Amino acid sequence: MELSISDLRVCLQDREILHGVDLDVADGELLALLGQSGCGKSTLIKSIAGLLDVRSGEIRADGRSLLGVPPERRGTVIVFQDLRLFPHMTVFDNIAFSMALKKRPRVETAQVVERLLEDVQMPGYGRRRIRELSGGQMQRVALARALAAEPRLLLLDEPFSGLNEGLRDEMGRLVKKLHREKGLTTVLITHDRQEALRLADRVALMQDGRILQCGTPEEIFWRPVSREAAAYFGRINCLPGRAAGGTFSCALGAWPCALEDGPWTAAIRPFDMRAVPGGSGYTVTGIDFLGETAELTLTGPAGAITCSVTAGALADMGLAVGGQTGLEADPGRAVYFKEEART
Amino acid sequence: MRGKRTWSGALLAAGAAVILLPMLVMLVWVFTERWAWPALWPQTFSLRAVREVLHRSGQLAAVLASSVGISLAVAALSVLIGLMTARAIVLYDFPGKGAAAFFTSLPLMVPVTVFAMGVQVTFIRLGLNNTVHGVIVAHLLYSLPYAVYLLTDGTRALGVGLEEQARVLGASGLGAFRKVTLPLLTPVLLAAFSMAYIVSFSQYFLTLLLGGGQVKTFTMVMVPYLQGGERNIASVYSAIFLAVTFLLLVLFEKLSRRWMRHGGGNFYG
Repeated sequence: MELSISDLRVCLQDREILHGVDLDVADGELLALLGQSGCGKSTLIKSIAGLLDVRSGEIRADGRSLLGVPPERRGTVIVFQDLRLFPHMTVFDNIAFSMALKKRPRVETAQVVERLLEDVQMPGYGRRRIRELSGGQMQRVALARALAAEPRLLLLDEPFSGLNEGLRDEMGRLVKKLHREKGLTTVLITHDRQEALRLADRVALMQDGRILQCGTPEEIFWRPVSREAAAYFGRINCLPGRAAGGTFSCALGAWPCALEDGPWTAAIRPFDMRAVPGGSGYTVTGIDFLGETAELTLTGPAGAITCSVTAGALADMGLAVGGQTGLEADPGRAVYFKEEART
Repeated sequence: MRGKRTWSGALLAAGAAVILLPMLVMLVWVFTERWAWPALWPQTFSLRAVREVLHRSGQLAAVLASSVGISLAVAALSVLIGLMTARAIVLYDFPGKGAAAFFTSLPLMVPVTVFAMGVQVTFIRLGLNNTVHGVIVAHLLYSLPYAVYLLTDGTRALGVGLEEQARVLGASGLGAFRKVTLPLLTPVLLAAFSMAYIVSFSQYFLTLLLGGGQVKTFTMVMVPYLQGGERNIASVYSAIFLAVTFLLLVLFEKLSRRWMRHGGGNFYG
């Protein structure tokens, strides 16, 4: 299903939560909706599914408006964060819930449920009660139940957030595999940027009830449209400077650019900063050793700059807190934001 | 640890004694002819009271039937109206909701005598006094607060989440309620039903005033004996009252067990 949302405004208890959301999801696409908790992600998918009243705007599925269509006839199924398995039913009855509503023949239902249980790697669990399942198993059952409803659009509301890292990865892979096999249009809500980048065809970045940016994982990561969007993917170094005559100059030096003259800020990710041992100008004021990588804090003319290095490189550099070093930036990787005139 | 257990045991025994001792005394009274103060044990036993009540077993059966009938009707209506009220209060937003929620418990705050007077005046105007349905409505007014209270708590605890899930999986609003909420709410529905039943079954003053003596319920027959000093006959009625209530509550429980075989019912768990 092709989903198209335009200028959507939704209020909860007289407070506007979504302030004009525009979002398109292509047929068969896996879109990750990324944002901090409280930014309106859940409100957005509940609105898509028809569980909330829309104040203004439009939601279209394959060109047809969904507004006024009751949730049960939208073909949009949500797997909620709290899973919401029916505690008074067995695993089988939970998965067969939507099929029972459609009055499918028993034999067919049994076959479909068995196949879905295999898909989510839980064959033979049909007779189990919900309270006998582990957290990861409940997640799989919730996923299987949603798939049994043959949704046109699958909405996943952080369904893996309660799991430990290993299970999370496994569930992520499972969703991606099922998505690929079934070609199901899917919107995955997450606040985990790596999960979003790894799983999604496109990522929509959401903040304060608005979509900040929507693009492929690479676009979102390399070409953020604003400082907020850039900051969502980890620390970024902001270097205030000026562009004049095709040259951008800041505390780290000057390099050619294609900007109109005026004040700009260059944003450069920590991995595109290079500490130059033997150089000077910067003092190492902090080393955070993270295992495979390490983050150096270098203080000097450009302020406190974060610089990421691999653990091996750190060992080779022989830097210690208090030591002197030089600093270089990779200008090719810089993103520029126009400085707003401050009042 | 041990001391704690002894204490709770003693409390339990005391609690049980407070309920059970009067019941035992009542059972002794069933077979008592003369039990004058200050004797600790009846002077004369007889089966006169039992015989007298059984002698009028036709009348007894009729009173029992109307009593149970009225109370079952009250209980059923309480649960129905209570459930709708609870859902309105918990799941919907409307102006004046807080006040409406507060006023549902109003009948419990106004003394029953005051309440009954007001209801009587209104009922006379409506032509509802001295009728069975009038008595049912009056009992309903009094048992509803309990039902609303219990069902509001139950509805709040269950939340709207599972119904939302059922909706997106393809169930209509009514279907989601019937397939998900209703079975999960069964223990609370039963509690509300039993509570409303008992409130109605033991109602005396409201029945007296609004039934005007025309509507005969169990308490209506029993209380005059109590006041007339025929304590043994009153005790026979009380014993029957107790037995009927007990049997009905056991029956409700059994029925709900049948409903709950699906394995839900860990509602309070």
